[in-house]
Amino acid sequence: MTLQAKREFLAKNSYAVPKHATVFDEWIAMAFDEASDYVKGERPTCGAVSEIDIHNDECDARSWLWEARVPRADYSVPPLLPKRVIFKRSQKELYLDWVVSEKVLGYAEAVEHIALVESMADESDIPVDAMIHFLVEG
Amino acid sequence: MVELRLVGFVADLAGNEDFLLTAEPIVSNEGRKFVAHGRHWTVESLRPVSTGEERFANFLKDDDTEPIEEGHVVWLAGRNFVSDVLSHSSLVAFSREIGSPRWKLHSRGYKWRTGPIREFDDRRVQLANILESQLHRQLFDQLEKTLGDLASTFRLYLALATERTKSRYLNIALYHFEMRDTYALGLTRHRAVINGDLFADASTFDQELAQLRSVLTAARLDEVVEDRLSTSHSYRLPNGEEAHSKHVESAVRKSIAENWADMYGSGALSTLFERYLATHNGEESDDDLRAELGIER
Repeated sequence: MTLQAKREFLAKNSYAVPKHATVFDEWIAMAFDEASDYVKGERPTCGAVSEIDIHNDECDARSWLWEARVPRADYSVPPLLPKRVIFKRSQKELYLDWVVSEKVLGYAEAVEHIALVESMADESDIPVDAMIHFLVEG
Repeated sequence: MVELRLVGFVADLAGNEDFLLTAEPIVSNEGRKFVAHGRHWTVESLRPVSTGEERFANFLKDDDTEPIEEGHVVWLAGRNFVSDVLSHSSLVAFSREIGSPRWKLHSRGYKWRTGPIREFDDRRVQLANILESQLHRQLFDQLEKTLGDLASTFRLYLALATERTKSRYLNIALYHFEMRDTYALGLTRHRAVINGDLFADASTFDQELAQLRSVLTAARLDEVVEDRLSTSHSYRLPNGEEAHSKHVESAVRKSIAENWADMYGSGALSTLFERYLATHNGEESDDDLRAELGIER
């Protein structure tokens, strides 16, 4: 595939916000019995892009289904905001210890950051399961 | 029965150098590789290595692979953690264990072994308790504070006491308080009270911290007094009267009790005591000091 062909392929299969939502919903309805199956990592009956073969046992199909891109730029307000962070057991405490001991932030900024982390973060023995639970149950 | 073989583990080796952690085993079963998740994994719960995990999959050299039991996990110790343990004066038994062939060497100086997660937790708590008492002792000893292994005691304590508990926050705050690190002390206090799950509010936290300090300062005072009394002979006051050791002891204790709020803690006690002894050797006029210490003639 030439560079030009790759560019065209990518452009043809890219959707801007918010139009992507319609395309995404249509594909989910076609490929899964339940919308939550996508989150749980169930294998879809078809890919979102017909040229990509997802029926390969060696690969995790999720890598080839759908992804988001954010243009590289200096944003005054971050375009993506974290909603929920799940650390592996003990790691949230150790992360915040690090923030405190390394003094990487100014005091007021550190206070704010700690409050942010505490408001959205949790620990779990199996973070991926805890995150899937959050995505499915809300 | 299926023989499961440990062939690797999932862990981020960048940034965990100071810690003792558990890592998910990567096991080989009938030629395929799986990751064992959680505290109670079984053959049935094994999952293929996911795309996200591939980046953090660490494989063992063929000679290092070993059979693994269901539910066992990889105990992983970072390079700095290992060197702190080996040089620490209070962890002799654990130091011997981590230096034994039971712990195998991996890349970047990490050492690992396998075992039940329950045993890992018990060991972690036991070591954290040892370090807590060391921290309490060393923080109130000027010599340990400057020349001893206080810094490594604190690093190891942080690495091992990883549950969000009251004592964890009080001990960390105590360390920052004694090290005069107001930035870290303020943030530790903020973390301790932020959810209201450990301390009702900041003033409750401050009270409990002050209480812990006073208990430890009192314990240190006992040591200082015992130490000085055991090495001191009799002292003669300027008026020819012999200073009785009980007299000295009660005077020092009294002055300390009145100075709990004194930020300088045990350092001030020593200074006061030195001055008291100096007056008995006739090096200093003792009238003012007597008044300060509340000693009656």
